[in-house]
Amino acid sequence: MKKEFVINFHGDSTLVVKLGEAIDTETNEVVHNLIDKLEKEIINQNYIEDIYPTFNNIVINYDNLLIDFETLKIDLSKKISNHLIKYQNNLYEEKINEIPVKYGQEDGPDLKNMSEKLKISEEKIIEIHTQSLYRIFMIGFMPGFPYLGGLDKRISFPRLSTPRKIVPEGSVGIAGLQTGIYPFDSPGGWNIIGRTDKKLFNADNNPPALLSSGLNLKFIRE
Amino acid sequence: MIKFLNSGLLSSFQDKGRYGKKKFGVSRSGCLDVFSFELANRLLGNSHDEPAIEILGGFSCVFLQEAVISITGPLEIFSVNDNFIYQTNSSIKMNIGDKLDIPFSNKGNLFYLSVSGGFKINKVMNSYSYHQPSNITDELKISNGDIVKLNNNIQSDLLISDNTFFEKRIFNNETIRIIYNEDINVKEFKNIFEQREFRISDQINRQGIRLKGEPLDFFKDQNEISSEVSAGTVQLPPDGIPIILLNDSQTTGGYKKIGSIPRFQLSKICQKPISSRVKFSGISLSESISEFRKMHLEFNKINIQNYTNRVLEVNGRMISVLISQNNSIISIADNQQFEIIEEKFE
Repeated sequence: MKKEFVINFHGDSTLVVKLGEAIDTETNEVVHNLIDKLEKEIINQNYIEDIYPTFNNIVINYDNLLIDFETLKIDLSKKISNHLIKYQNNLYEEKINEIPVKYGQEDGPDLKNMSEKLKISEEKIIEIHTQSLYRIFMIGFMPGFPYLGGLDKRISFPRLSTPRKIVPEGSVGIAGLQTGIYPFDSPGGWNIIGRTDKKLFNADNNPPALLSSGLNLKFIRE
Repeated sequence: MIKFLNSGLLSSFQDKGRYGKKKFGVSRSGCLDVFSFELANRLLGNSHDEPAIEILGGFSCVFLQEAVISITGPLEIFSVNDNFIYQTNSSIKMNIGDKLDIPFSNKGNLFYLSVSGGFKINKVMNSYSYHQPSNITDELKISNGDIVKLNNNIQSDLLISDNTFFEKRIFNNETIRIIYNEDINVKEFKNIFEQREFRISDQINRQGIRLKGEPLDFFKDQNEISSEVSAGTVQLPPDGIPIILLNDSQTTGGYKKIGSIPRFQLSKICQKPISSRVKFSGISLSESISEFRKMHLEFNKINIQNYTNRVLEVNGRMISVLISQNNSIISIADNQQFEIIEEKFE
């Protein structure tokens, strides 16, 4: 079990608690377990603007007119150390979200290029992509966007060197060892292999995001 | 009521932003130039977080009722109905049927329009701020032909602000300061980055500013784990051209992060006109916070005074005269040309 952590600043109003260096389930579970407890303790402080998890970090935005980085760092270090001493792994429930996807052609404009560069047929890439069970590590990037772990290494592919100005809503993409779904039309640098009709975000719902971290997801070919 | 005739490149309602929603992937949004935003409300006696209209790239509207409004942002002189002039960073009385134009400015990007008492609009996820990259706040975006209702006017005095603070702190050509991330300890990179001159490209919106310039030959082989980004984060994609993320950016991103523009410089970078030159210089965390605190003190001390506006007809020409409390004439103008004379009456 990981018990070390490092606290860094990013700019003058963001504090980052780093709990690991890689994308792995164990680190991500520590992140989620810890943030649940930490959030309850500090959310009512007037200097906290936001607190959220990433793959391996807990991120806090704070109002630097009300508190400085060093003071916040010392306070959080104490709280985190206390929690990590008592840390017990809470297993997340094994619920599977199914996302139907149309692969290739105009829905997945980068599938052809990936197939050529990887020397794997488009059919095989689709088969590999639909076989895996993905863990939702975090929601981020944009409203409701799930960062998924568990992509088969054979279909890992680097980001576009220049991001596209518009990627259509519902696009399913691959970047490095990550795969994900774009909830809205937006700029983006991922390789787009397909598209889903599922709505990932609705501001009127509570919670507003369809998916939440800790759950599992499977892509189904439509 | 106000009817919008031209919403320019992007006009939207903004307050100070939407907090605590990043775990759902919702970034903070909120006004890009918080000082001009706050001044707009201060000139009207509004609360400091009353939503205002943020204007990017031209705007016009017509007033269907009387209202006292304020316009802040780049230092400009504009006219209403072609017969009286006003200066930005002041409040103005609008009559029924008055048409307001805020043309594109080459001095800065963002204007704020506020009304005394505020606009009658609804919150989405606990904020009045439009969020550009999603469709969750579309009713907070302004489109041509839209009509918005106003709350009751709360102040009838007309006020004008001294511009020294804005000239010194926001609309200047000094370097943009950056706090490098702790893992960017490559001295060679900092030297080259700070010598390089970039320009603001036309790809500027509420999500970020893409720069133009010679690509930086660093961090080409990136395989970053996607992690947090915020307003001010400076990313370097493999194409070597830096991107400065702003309030509506994604909440997490995967390009190499070299550092962040501190809060005391965010208004300034957002107001830098397209094609203007940008150079960077490093700053420490402690220095940037003391600058931010100093800036707030200076902002709170800005000299704001009452003025009266007289529209005169002289030899068939309409002339606007703004007279301040100490009997200075602030500006004189007509529909052909304007000039500013700062002279005592006596």
